[in-house]
Amino acid sequence: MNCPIRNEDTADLLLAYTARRLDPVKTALLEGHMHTCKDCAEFRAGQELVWRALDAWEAAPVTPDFNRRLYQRIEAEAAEPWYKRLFTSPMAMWKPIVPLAAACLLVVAGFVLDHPNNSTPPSPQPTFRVSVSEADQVENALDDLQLLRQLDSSATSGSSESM
Amino acid sequence: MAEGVNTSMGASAALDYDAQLMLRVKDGDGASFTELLEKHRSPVVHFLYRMIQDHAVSEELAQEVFLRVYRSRNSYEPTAKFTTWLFRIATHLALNWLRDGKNERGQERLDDLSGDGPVREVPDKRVTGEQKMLYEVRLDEVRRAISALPEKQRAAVLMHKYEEMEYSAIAKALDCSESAVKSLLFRAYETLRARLAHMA
Repeated sequence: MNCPIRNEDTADLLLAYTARRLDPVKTALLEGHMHTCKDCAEFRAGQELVWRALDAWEAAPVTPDFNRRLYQRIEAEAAEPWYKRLFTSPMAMWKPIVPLAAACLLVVAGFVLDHPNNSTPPSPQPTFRVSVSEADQVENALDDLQLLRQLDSSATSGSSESM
Repeated sequence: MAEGVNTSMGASAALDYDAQLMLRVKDGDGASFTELLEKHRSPVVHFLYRMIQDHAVSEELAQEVFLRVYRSRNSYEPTAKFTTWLFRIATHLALNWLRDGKNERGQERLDDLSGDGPVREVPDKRVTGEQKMLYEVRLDEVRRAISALPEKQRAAVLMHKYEEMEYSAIAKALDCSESAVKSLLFRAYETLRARLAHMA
């Protein structure tokens, strides 16, 4: 028999042997091997020690009102309104979709914010009109200012003459 | 569907008695749920207790396990062994609990391992006080050695040792391959052999 401890594929034979889960044929083969293999014999001794130590660890008994508390929770859940049950029901298949939907929304929002002009198609005609009207407005404003200055200066000269 | 409550695990498991009971629960038979609960309550609580080492929390998580089983009754399909599914839910809840509260609870738990849960008696009533103390010290060392294992290794050892689960079932419960389970177990037992060697 090849040494199981040196082969990753057969190393679990030693664990199965200690756990008494090895079939009789393999058990006999392994025991024969361990008479001559120091490494495997050491492994067995160490593993049996661990096994005995774990055997000594008994878990505490379950509290007597375990079932009662569980049934209370089941009844309380059954009495909840349907919209609350949606969040706890294993049938709520939409739950895993929520993060995906949120991610998609973020991507779309990011795209829209990154390309703000893409949403409105360009129209050159209104732009032209706006620029013409703006120029006219500026020209008119300048004319008005000039007129005001003229009025102001004429008024000043008129008053000085009258004095 | 709740995590771990994935009933379609691929393997075409034979319809074990537990799966038959679960199908009856699906048909509205409450007595079958009680039967499943009576049968698996202690193994689930004990597994969670050894994982978390807090009696109150382990019972709370075990309640959540059975609550999820009950909630999933309508969608249940017996495509895997019932216990594999059950321990998959339990493992998932335990790992989540450990990861969520590791920073707050980890140190506290390690410092107070012996003071939790109902007091256990030394099996043989004729033992002396000194033997009882030695037993408690050794038990504490075992608990600390298990607690010091990485979470997945710990879960694998507990399912292998106490629940006598096959590698394939442990693999499904831990959502990994069988070879990964073998590797987890080998490393975990190697650590335990080193830590508990002085107990010989």
